[in-house]
Amino acid sequence: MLPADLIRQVEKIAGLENVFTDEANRLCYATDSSLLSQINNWVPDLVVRVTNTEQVSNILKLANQHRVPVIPRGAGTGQCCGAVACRGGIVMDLSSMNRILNLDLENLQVVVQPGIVHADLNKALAAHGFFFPPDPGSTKMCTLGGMVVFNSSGQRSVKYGTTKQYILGLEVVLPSGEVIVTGGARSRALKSVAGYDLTSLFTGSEGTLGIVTRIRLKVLPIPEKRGLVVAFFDKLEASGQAVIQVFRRRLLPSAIEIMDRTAMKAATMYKPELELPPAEAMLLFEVDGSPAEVAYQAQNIAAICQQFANQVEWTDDPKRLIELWTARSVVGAAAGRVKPGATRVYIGEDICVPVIRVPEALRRIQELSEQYNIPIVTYGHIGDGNLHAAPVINTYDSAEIEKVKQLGDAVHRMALEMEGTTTGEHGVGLTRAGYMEEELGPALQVMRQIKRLLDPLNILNPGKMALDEN
Amino acid sequence: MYMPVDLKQELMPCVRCGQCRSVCPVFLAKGVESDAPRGRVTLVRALLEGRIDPTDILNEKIQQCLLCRTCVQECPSGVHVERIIIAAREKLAGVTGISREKKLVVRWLLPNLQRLRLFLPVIARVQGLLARRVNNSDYQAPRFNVPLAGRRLLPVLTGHTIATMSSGGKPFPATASSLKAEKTGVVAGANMTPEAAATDNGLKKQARVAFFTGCLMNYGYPHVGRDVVEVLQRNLVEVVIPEKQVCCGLPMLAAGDRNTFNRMREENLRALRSIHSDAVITACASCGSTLKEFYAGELEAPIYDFSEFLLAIDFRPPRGTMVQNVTYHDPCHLRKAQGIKSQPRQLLKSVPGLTLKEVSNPDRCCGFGGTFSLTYPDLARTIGVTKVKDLMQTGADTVVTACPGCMLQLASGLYSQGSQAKVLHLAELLAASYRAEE
Repeated sequence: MLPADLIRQVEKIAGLENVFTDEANRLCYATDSSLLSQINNWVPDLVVRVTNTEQVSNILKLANQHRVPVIPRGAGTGQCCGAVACRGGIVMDLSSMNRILNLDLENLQVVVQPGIVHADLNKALAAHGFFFPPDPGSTKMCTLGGMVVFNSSGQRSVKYGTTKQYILGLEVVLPSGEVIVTGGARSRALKSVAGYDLTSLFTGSEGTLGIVTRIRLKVLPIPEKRGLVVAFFDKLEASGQAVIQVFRRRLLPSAIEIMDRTAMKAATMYKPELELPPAEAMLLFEVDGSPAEVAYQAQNIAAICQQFANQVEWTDDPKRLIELWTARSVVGAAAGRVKPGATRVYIGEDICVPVIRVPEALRRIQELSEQYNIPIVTYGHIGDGNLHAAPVINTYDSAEIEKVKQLGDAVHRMALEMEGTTTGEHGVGLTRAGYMEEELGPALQVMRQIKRLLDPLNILNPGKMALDEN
Repeated sequence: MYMPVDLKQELMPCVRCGQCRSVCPVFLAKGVESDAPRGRVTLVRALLEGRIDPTDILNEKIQQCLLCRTCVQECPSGVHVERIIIAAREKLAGVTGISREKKLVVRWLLPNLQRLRLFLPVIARVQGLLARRVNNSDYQAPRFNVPLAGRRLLPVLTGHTIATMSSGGKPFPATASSLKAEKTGVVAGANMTPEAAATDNGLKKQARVAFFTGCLMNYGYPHVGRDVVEVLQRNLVEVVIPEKQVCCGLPMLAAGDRNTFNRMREENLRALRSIHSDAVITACASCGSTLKEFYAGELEAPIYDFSEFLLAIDFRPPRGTMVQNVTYHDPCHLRKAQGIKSQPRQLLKSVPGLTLKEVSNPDRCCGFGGTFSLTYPDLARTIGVTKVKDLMQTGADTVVTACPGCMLQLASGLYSQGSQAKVLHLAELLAASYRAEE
């Protein structure tokens, strides 16, 4: 319970209509997609919807005085229990701060508020022939603020990298309420090496160091054309070989996606009309650029795949592109349907391993699936080694919940053992905090020192990312 | 009998991804998580698990769903939010009761055929005192906040039903004795069109259909129902209107009153079974979705939406030229609940002279939601204004749709935004084109 005078002051800052202390409203902010948030009942004490930087600053000042946790939240689409109040406190909903403040396209940049939805930004940019390349699967609902503090990416990171490559500067409110701008206080420059790279520090900080209230983003012209190569492989290992050969031949697709046997089965169960041929793996290579470039790349990739695959097709016809992408685009949703009376849960869902070891990781995940007797549908971005494993369980069965927690742990440990990481793009949050000692080594201590420096009272998103010693 | 769904199983597939936030009209208008389908699903889950009490706020969140199914269409995991909401409302009705306005409609007015038929003529007589006609249209604007209607535009009541209108009969009030007469159905408009006479003579009749009119169309827009009959007759279809049909039951179901819904359903099944027909036709999207979901299987005749049926038979395109710029609004219960989106467009394109201009987001909900707009008139209006602004952008002089509920809401919204655009049911436009042939 928060002190009554603190609640009154927050109401004064944000307006009565934007402050929620009732049970129903608070409960709706208790979860994200992670299994962890769903099996706990981490209901915040208060939810406040903010509309400007000043409000964020005043609320942080207040919370700091009262030593009350503040958890920034966008659309709550995360999968690692990041925007969840595991120690109570105030959840700050920034999704109403959703405006584009400046379209500075001659200068290849835009300035946006953190609550803008990724798809809305790209729709606005597309009207001018530009785009913000990182492309998370949650494009329709995730916010830019969330993408920044989790350094999100998606299928096209093979060629275009992750969110951090596009952030030119940030306005950040520190726990003290102080507002700073990184990347140059008044800069509109496309690059700068002035000072420590604080932009990168706050990017991926998961709301533990400051609250991002404004984002200066680099954008790119939309490629003229896209093409797609789809290949089916009898042997999982052959798909890995094909990817390696493509890179060796100096080809750079914008995305390389893999679906293993389980994922193909799930997609077919969901959409039987897909009629996928029997195979151990399916690869999708997306290429983009000028029409000539697309044709050149696609034909060459198709030729390489011919050596390893038993069926290959390439196209640059927009209609066929959509048809061929269907299998990949439905698989996330289809996963939950492989077992009646069960659903997909998010744990161990974001490991990333060296590209060359992706086939091995896929095999080992299937072995774990058999060992724990839990169906797992696996697909992902083979182009950068990032795999999404989707265990499917009956969430009303506590024994299955226990089992899947062990399974998730085994997947995470496998990734570390394979010289990979527990999270490629979703984040640490609370779900993966327990692996940080092992994964980061002594670097974690440096992170903790930075945290103490910027947030000495530990009010910002406490408990996440293993930043507390306890 | 319709039994409640297994709520636990319905809730399970929701992985809380939040994709529903991108489309829910109520969430987009209000912007708070508890107003998103994901929020509502979370609340129902907590209610079921006993983690939350049925407070007024929780009740309001569960009631503030349009049941438009935009989220259902969007949901990657296939969560049937509308089933969850209906089941939750039933649970809540047992605890917090049903609101006064809803009770009046779903328990007092709509379930009782005689009351409805006696009540509406009274309103028809005094409507001039309550409202004034707008722009020589068939709509009237209340002079003050009218109970149940608020300040929205309402169709001018003529005292007709579809049956009296299409058979050239007198408007009601029907007498109590005429209501008691044991007729099962009227063959609509035997002499209305040359084709009807031909059908009567046994010439190439395509089908005999039972017309499920729906309350709003039968009493608020009987001329639209008349046009439905006419278009069917022009296509050599014999139309019978079962006399004892009552409300389809959706308002009861949506209010969480399953008992009354089941009573309506039984009465309608009896009325529909009493008539031999090749198909049951409705031209109301909401009635259509309710019939298809809760009646099918109990009837021998298949159930069709008007537009769907016309293209399932040998459709004769109308030849009368209608020079109009029209745009089409997809009713949620037609496109999202019944999957019908191409048929109305195809029919519109068959009308000579007509230009169809697609609106951006054609399936964005109009915000009517049946009793939703009685309980939350301001929210319904806000959602409606977003919709009509899109429609006005097209520059169309006529907005066509296929549901009387949407017609009511769009007419109000367009009027409030100063638009002169007319709102027509698809059947009205088709009928006008047939009539223009002569």
